[in-house]
Amino acid sequence: MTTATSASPSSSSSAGATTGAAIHVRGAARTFGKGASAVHALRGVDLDVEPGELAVLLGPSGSGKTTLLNLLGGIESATDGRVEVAGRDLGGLDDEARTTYRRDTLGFVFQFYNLVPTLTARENVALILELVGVDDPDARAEQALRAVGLGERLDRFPAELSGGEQQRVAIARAIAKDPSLLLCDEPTGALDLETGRVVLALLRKLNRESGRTIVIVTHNVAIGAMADRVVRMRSGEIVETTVNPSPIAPEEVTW
Amino acid sequence: MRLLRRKLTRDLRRQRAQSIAIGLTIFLGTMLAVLSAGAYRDLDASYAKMFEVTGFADLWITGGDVEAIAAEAQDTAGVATAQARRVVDVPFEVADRRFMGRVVEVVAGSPVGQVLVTAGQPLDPADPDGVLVEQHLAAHDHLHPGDHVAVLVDGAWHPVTVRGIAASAEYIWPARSRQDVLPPPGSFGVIFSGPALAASLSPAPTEVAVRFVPDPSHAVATRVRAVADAHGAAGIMTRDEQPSNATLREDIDGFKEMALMFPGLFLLAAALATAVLLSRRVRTERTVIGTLRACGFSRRQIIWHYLGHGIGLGLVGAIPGAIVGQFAAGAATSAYTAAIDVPVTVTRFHPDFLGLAVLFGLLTGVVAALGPARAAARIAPAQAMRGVIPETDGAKRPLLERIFPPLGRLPARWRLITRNLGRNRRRTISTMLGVILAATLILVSWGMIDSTKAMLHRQFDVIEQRDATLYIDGMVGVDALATAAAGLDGVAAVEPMLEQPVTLRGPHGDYATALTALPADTVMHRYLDHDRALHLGDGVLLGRAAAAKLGVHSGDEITLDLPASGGHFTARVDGFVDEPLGTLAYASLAAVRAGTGEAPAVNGVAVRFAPGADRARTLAALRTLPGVAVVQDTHAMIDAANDFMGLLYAFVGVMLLLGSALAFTILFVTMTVNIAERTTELATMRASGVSLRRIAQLVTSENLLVTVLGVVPGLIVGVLAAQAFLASFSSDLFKMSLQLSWVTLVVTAGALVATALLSQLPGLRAVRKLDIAKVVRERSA
Repeated sequence: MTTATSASPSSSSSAGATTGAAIHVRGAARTFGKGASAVHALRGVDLDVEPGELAVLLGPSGSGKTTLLNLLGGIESATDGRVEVAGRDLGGLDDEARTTYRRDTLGFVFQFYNLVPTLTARENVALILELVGVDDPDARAEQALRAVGLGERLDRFPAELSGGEQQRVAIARAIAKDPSLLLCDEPTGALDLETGRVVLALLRKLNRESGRTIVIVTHNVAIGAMADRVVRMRSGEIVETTVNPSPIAPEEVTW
Repeated sequence: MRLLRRKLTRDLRRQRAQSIAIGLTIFLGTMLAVLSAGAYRDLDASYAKMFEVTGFADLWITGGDVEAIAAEAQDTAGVATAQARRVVDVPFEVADRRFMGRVVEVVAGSPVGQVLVTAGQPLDPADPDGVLVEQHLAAHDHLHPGDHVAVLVDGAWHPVTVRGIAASAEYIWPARSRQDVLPPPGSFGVIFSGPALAASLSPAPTEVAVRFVPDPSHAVATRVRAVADAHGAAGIMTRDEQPSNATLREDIDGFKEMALMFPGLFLLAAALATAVLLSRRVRTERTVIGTLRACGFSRRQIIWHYLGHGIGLGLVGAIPGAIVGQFAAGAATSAYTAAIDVPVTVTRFHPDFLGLAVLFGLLTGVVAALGPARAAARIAPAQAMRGVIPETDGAKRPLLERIFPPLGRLPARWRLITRNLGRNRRRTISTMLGVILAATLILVSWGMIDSTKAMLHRQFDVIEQRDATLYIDGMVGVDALATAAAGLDGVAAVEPMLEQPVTLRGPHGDYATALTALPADTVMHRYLDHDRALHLGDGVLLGRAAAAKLGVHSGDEITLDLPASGGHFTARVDGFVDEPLGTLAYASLAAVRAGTGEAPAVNGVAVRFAPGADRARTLAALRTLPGVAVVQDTHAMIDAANDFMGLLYAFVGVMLLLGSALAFTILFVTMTVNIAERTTELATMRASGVSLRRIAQLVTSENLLVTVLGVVPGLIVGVLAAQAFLASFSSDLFKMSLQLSWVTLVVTAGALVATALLSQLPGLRAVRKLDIAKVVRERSA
């Protein structure tokens, strides 16, 4: 395993209101099943992501990148090792505390958007804000949607939006709570190049302007070029971590 | 295809809980169908056998020149036997208890009007004082062969010896008359005698029992009626009108109603649940369907595969349901005949019902599966392989919000709840229909209890005001008896009373009933047309059912034949009373006197107790009065009715359980499917930090909303169905009008909501166990 020394990105100093969460993973392992049928999805992974970094986890299918993302998101537990996000050891949290952690610290963006088809863009964002108890959810939802460039499409239903727009709604839903860490699982996986670039540009903007830490899981190697830190995984292990001193602009990413 | 069959069985096994719930509902439906229909047919056959063994007559003719009627009817074409006999109502004394009984003459060797001796010896001409006691009286008073019973003959108690216990087709249900089909236990009894005792009570025969040849034409009855009319008969009663047969017929017709209605509800619920479940399966298997189609499977093969789900569920529920129903029908028939002491029980194997039930169970599954199966076959392979279901339904504001814009300003979570109603309209409608079916089942059953209670209250608290009736033995004058009774502690009022059979003759037909005559200013009975009080005047008041039977209106004239006294008179109909029990004729004593031209033969004294009187003590004191043959306690009838209510409560209890099971099945299936289809949404919320409690609230609110939306029409449909069901029981014997208390409606609604809450628990448990990591990566389907 090759591990490069981490360094803060040059542009992370332009942080906005949000302070990015720091990630420290030590010896994290995750095994599914027991005995002969046990599957070792993660094997003793160490990872550090500095506050305000945009990190990309790269790897082929089955490499363990999504499992690692799930450990960071507190929706799975490590069977061994330590996972610490924003100074909080996730291993010691019960289900309620994990829910609180996800509510206060995290925003999730999924490959397939997972929007509620019967609610408009504004309502999809406001729904989560309401359910987690954020004040004035409608205004916050509108603000988040404007931030992702959907100010003109607030009251459109998902079926009336393009794939890229739906993903931007999903990003707005994730950032509306103002989380310090944004976890994105294949956010461009269902999009074409053009639309994917728009989404990546938005993520970069959110990272640079608000200073929140973003971790993107993807199998698309090209996306790594725009990241501050690139983590390559294979067979449940991190095989390389690269700090990118001069990430390219999302508009330059191509695949 | 072998592998497709394996897939089918595995699919059913994978959704085991839902499959079992649907299978059980089909099982209950088919079981109830075979049980009800089989029991109906078995009971019908049991009665037919009893009729055959004892020579149950087809017509009974009373009054007129009985012997001439019998002789001429015997010679009428289509008549097998016309037997003149004596039937006399007379007081009995058993131990120290006196009541109004009936002596029925059994003519030796006649093919009509025989009895089945269940214990002891048959009648013997060599033992003129030996009698057979009808089995209900024997059971009530623990009478055995060798015991003695006293019969009032010419004002003196005449002891007779019990030779045996007998059952008669005319008294399977021990009804005194058509207007008194529920005599309190012990207040009525029958003794079968030879000619000697009967002749001492009535020198001449009192009625003719006529039996037709097998499969007679309608003309036979018409010819016999003509003979009866020619000889001045006062009353003609058909089998359908015979009190015992009419009561039992009403009762077993209930099985026929049940054989249609309740299984129908269950099978409909099962069909809805199957359709919901299969629709979900087809949606989730779009890519599989697309692959199969791409691999060369025809639309027909796809249709058959998904129809197989319906066929499987139908057969798994229907075959055991039909078999259990067959056994249950036999058990129900035996239990029923044992409960009402029918000595002949016929239970048969009903292959036709068995086959029909299985066929209907199968059809339920097939019809329910047809829609989803055709939808599956219509899926284009290319579209299916993409696996994305176009969510176009959600892409507009629902009609409700367009009509009521404030709804669109509700918090987003409430908008989510209301809009999800339209998200899968078919499922929402299925859930609502399930609730409506369950509400119908519950209200139809419970409606019987509330309506029976209301019927008893109207009859005994509102209309009937007398507490007891004294029947005289003829040894003391009525006036003297009334004076003596009025002087007792606890007695508030007494009135002379005439009660006797009457045949009313109107332009459209005759109607045999009873005439009750009281003083015009009586306080013993209230004559009510709905809530409007009527009063006894110069004419007669009739039960409302008589209006149609006679074809008369208020102000018309009718003829009243009094077979007991041989008199008759014409009177004006002053109005119609609305009474739930029986269809009687009422007149003032003065009107009877004016009509017949002679003082009416008053045969009783109506007694009303003072408020707070000790009922038992006052009744005991009345029994000791000289001249009293029988004291009939009005409240004994209420007690009997309350005993009957116990059975009704048990019936309703079972129906409530079944209704809840029905509601549970469909709510369980629709709610688990609803949650299963939205796992991605729910998991996304969980990943976003929404607590389980909030998600449970959200899901519960949705489920409750759709349940409540079903409850409202459910209560309306249930009330309408209960009205129709009760109307099917209404006749001139009973008038059942639906009365439902608000408590019933509230409890029904509450039970359905509680069932909804219960049936969503498995779904909520699934939410708790949701593998967020796995679900959020999948496309929602």
